[in-house]
Amino acid sequence: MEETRTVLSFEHVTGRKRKFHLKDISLELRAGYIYGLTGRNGAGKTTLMKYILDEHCRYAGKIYLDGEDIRLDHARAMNKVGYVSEDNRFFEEQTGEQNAQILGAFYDDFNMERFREAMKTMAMTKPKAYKRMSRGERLKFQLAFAIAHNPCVYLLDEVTAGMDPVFRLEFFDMLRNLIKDETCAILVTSHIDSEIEMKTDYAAVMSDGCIGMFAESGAWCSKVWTEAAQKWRET
Amino acid sequence: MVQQSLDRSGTEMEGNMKTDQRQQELLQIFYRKGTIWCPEHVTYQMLAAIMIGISMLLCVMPYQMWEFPRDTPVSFLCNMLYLTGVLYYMQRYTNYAEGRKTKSVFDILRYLPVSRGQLQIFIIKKIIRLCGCLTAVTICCQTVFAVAFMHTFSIENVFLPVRFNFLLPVSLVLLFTSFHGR
Repeated sequence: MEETRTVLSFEHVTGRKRKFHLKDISLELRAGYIYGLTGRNGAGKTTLMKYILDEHCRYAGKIYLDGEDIRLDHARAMNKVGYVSEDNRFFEEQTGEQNAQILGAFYDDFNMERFREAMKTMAMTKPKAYKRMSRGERLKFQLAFAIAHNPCVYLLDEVTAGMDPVFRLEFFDMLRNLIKDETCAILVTSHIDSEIEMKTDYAAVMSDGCIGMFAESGAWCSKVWTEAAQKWRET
Repeated sequence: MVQQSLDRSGTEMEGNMKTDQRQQELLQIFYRKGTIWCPEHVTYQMLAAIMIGISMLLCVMPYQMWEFPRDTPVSFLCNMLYLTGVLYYMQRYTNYAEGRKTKSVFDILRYLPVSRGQLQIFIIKKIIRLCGCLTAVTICCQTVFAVAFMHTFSIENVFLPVRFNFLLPVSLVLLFTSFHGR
């Protein structure tokens, strides 16, 4: 890997929930790259993101965001995270712009012009209540909302599931544009292996709360699958 | 002794709770904008006013006028009305309605850079202000009525309102907001 800034790192993170938890996760995401995480349903992909997003999540180990432990000031750390997921909540009766005006105020660096520019890029200029947006439109809005506050890491959770092929291409083009200036990293989770292999720079496999190391997507199939298979056998 | 010192991020230490001024201001703007106002809030406020009003009519009576165990059910009802009124008042800050569904403010702010603890502090401050005023009124009325009409005064004329009109509802709200939306 070329040496760019580490924006997100997990150091031996192990969860403390009884039913399901992450097991000794260590990873590093560097700015300027798109990272893909795949695995079966229930492997822990979304859980990994929730460990970053949830203020009261209990775990051993450390999670660093842009060099700072997120537990020291979780609210401030959330300024640096852009989260795109069906699980994300907005005001259903308000339009995208209204949601941005109300909720964007909580961010230090939220810029309405940047938001409008991003919405325009994604051809989302017509005002529409959030509840009336299609799934794809909601994800576009969420991405524009995230872009507007200039995070250093984007967490995209199963965003491409159900997307049509045309929009899927556009979507990954948008992501490529975001990382061009090497100020942020993107972590995409998906259970579609082929998409992770073809569209991301580095990929890893998760299984039962464990993660294999990130490897270049080109070499992904052979190396990562071998390591993942090894780990599954061991666990 | 309350320690007040500003650290690098502009937070004040108040006893054991750490208040982030910036987040408190943002929450003030968030609620003031009327963004989460809904007609149900009017209903909540009216119900709160009615319940607290009725319970206050009984609370201002000096405790020396009460005879226990005969008046225990009335006293219990009075306290329950007061607590329910305070909880209805709190709905303004914890819930909002969209369509026919009631939703939690904690959910909408979950992934934003605002701490759940700060939201809790914000709500508790509102409740403390309300209950503080009501407790002060109760203490004044109880003291005046006890001295003027019954020619007696006891420290319980102060302690009982503090316990039931202040500490109990504030503790309840603290408990509720600790678990709400988890």
